[in-house]
Amino acid sequence: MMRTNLQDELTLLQRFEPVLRFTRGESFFPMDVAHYVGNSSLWVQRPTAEPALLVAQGGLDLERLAYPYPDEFGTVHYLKFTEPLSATNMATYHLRQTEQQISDRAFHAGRGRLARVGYLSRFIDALFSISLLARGRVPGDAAAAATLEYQRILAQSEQYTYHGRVVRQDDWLVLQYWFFYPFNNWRSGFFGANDHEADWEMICVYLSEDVASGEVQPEWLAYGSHDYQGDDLRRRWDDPEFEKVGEHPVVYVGAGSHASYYQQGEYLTELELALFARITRALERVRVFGRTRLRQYEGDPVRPGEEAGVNIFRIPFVDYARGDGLAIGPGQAKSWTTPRLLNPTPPWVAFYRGLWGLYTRDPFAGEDAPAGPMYNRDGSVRRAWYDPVGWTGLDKVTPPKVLLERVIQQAAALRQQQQGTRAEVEAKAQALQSLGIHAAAMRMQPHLYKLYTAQKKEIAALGQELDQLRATLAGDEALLEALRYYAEQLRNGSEAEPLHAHLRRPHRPPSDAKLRATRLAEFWAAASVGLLMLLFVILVTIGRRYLMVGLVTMIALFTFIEATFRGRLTRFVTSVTISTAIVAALVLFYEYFWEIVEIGVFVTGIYILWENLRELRR
Amino acid sequence: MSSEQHDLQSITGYSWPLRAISLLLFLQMIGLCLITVYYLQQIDWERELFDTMPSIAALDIMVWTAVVAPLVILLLITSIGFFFRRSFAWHSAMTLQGLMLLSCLTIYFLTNSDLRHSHLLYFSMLYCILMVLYLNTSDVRMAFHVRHIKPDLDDDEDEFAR
Repeated sequence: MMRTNLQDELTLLQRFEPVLRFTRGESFFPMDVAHYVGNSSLWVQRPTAEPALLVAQGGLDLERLAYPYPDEFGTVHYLKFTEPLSATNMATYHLRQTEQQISDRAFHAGRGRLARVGYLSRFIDALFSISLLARGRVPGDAAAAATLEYQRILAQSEQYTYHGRVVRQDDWLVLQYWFFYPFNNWRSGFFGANDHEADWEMICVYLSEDVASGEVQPEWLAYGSHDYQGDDLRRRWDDPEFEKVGEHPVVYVGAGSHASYYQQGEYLTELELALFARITRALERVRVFGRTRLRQYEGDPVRPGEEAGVNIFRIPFVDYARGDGLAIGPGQAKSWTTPRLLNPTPPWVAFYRGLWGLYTRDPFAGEDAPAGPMYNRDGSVRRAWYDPVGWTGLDKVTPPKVLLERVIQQAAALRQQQQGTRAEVEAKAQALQSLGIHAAAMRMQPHLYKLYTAQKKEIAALGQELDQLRATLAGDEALLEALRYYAEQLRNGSEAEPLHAHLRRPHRPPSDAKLRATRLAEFWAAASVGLLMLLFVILVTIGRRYLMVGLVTMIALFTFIEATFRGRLTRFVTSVTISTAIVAALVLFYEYFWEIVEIGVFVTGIYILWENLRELRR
Repeated sequence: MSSEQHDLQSITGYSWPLRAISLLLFLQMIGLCLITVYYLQQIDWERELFDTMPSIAALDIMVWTAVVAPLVILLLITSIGFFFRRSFAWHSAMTLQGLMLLSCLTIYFLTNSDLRHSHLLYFSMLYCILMVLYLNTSDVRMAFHVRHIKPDLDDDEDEFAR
């Protein structure tokens, strides 16, 4: 990986700089890190001590942030952007919020996230919310304090900045756009999973480059979204599924979370808990057994996102990327200021390995601030930084500008390899024939038994080797033919891989039809889990004798109501029928265990007998 | 529900499994009738009528008959529905098997009547289990694939729902 010398990095970055569209109610926008660091203090948390202040607010800048801060193992360095609010400040904040709501600039949630998922997810969500009380979390007034602080910075100098990096890797020229937000208020502002100080987000534009002329062509782009990576992140430049303003890709930014999306909409993001991984795997095995062995649902269409089965142990959150708020970028309400270049890697990126905001010691890490663009929270280097091509699975794709040349090169190399293999086959075939002659000559000579046996072994081994070589030759021939055909297609310009061939589980917003729900359904989704728990307590208190029957009836009734609201009554009926069939099968197995064994052995015996006798009759 | 959209008359190549299910449902209906008649014959109804209170066994049989009677009628309708390839038939057959199984399991777990100890109860369970398995095999499900006829169904909506 090396830096480009062919293009002016800044010009290149500005040529393809994105347009960011935010959701109404968003409080934080991309800013220059220098302003943030200048308004933060630097702290250290040693494993067995209270947090200690290293550099006070006002004394810190990017240069000082890059100083080495050697310390013991397990130490975490972090920045602190906000301080607890005074009563006056809190009142000011609430006044501004009310003013925003009156002027209809505030965020209004759409269909509740709980109405979009099933019961178990809602139940686990309730546990997750309760766990926040015990886990480390960002203080309640932190979002308000950050908003006021950010507004103060904006009032001093309204600037919207991104941080740009140009990297060359595997014949790709990669433009990385890093966006720094002072705060992530997804939980407190938009019913999301977490809040944390500081937020780093990134998108990449992948260019192929004509080395001779130095001309570049955008081929792919990838939007970073939460912790996802791999092929599903990237889209081809000519994909109509995302918008462009001239040569500037449009990014729909998740409200509060600042995740980047290709289309505007409300995305269901599900947090999967490792705690339930074993149960999920066991359920998946049962599903596969039913589908493959029992042929249940075989042939039914698999819905997008259900290829690997459905994980019911997950917590649903909605990421609102509506794009109805502020827009930043070329030709929009707000424009980018000159980007801050990350080429060459500045010391504050390379040497500051700490967190960019408050360290809450959250075991799930969701409430801890992220590390910088180069590092993960544990200090290891981010893949998106050291391998931006592999991060989106583009490492298996050859840039179009050099593709034909590579195909021709590979075909030539294969042809050369084939010649070598052919010569080897000929030599070995002759050797095998010679051995065959020797063996035939020795067959009726008892005194040559040992030599004959050794020769037979050698013949077997050589024969096997020759078989493999011929198979390789045949395979190479087929591959060569495929390469010839592919090269021909490339020359004619008719080669075109389907736009979404690389996508397995792309993140798309649900359709409007799916989001339609009555207020009653919304209310039911919000109240059902709590109501179920209350009824359980009542049942235990006054009717413990009928606990099992009552519990089964209650769950069945709730599930029936839920299925009716979600328009899945048929699926519910099918599931209940299959469940009762499983219970009935277990009952039969329990009641007729020996009879089942006897019949099983009897039937197997008859089958074997039939098969063997049928063979005799032929 | 428009019958033009929902009738599956136009689908060809899947008639054999549908006819088979139609026959199996008909046999199930006949079987249920025979089981009920058999149980009814086990009770001395003359004595029961003269007694002030009917016996528990008689009550069990009466409840069983009350549950089975509508199921028998629905099985007949569903069987005819399968024969004429009506789209409601699969849904109805699954629901009926579920109800039958629930009735059998209720008797098994919550009562101590003669029915509970009868082999016929287990036979009914076995028949229903096999029916559920067959109804969910690909051949049968594909035969009812409404999506092929009406591809603009909502993704969330099960293909048999309409």
